[in-house]
Amino acid sequence: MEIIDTYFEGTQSYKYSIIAHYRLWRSHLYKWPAYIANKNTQNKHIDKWSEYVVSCCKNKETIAYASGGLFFKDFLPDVTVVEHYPCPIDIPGIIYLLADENLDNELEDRFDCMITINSQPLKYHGDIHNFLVKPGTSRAGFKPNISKWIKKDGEIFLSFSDWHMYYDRLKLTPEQFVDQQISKLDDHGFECIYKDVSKSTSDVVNGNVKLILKKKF
Amino acid sequence: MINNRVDTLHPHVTVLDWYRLQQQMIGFTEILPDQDVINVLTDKKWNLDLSHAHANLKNKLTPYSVPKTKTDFFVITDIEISKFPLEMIFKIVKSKFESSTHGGYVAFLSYYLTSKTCYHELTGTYVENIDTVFRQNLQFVPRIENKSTVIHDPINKIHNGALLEGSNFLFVHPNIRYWLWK
Repeated sequence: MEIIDTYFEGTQSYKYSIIAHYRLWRSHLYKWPAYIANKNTQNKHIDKWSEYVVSCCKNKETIAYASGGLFFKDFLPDVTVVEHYPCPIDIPGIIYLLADENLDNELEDRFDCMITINSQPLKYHGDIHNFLVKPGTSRAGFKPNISKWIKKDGEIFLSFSDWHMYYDRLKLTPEQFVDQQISKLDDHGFECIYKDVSKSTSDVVNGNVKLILKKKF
Repeated sequence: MINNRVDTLHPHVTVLDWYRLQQQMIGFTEILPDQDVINVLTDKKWNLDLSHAHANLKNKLTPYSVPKTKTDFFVITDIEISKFPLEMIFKIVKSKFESSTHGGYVAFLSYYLTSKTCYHELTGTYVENIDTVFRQNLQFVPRIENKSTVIHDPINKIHNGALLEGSNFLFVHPNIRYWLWK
């Protein structure tokens, strides 16, 4: 239980239940249910977006960040899986940003591809540019500048639900919001080479906004 | 031993019981906006339409609903309703309002709003814009009380040493809240 003593700092009281903490831990890891579903089966299922991402990341140094990325281990055995908080249950194959103060430096300039799906830090860092480039603390915990983990010309496979983004939804459609973001990203060294914005309900797991961003410098 | 328990947790269930999770993690006894609604409605002896109320509120208010032929008051707080386009939401509210005797209480989530109309002319903050659009579309309501707790640009705002966003149970009881009275 002591593992999660600091997990909810700032809240009024704690009721320690390892199952409750495990449920909460996995609640924002959108690929986690798919990982569990595949865990003990021989025929591993993969959705279309993930399949496409996997095909692009084959034989490349890849990191899956804050997504329940253990799912991708079945398809990309060498993928580096990084989550923020330690799982209250010991699960091999994941490294934790907030449990290793040197990890951020170790990951720098190492990867050709980054996969991030409905990541909680994206939701709490306001916009995509902040999420990729600005280090800072939010309700999701401390997040470093994750773009520096990617090599020049590396690609970021970023998908999220527009429901997770805070913007004036009366003035902008999700597509207009994404276009604004892409324009901002272009000014900061990221070229959008693929964009798909579908209905908010179209893909709850991967998110209805799917982008591939190339790091230009 | 702990590892074995993972498989017993029904991992395929993706719908989260936010009420229970927040109750376990934060240790609250009642969600304040739920309590506000309960306080208003429990002594009215009204026939309550709770078909679109969220589970906690429905369970707490059902014993106070007095069966009658006509609905006295309706409650819409189910977070899933917020995923409908605004145009549909306002149609539902209008229909429920017209068939009630005293009015209703509605709550929607600011994160889920979608609209077929784009209100480019709006110049206020998101909080102000939401109120403007809701009042424009709720003109059939004689008396509106706005009890919303939408926060403009909430990311990273700190209150009493804690991050504000997500601390107000908005995933249980949505944050755009209106009392609609006849």
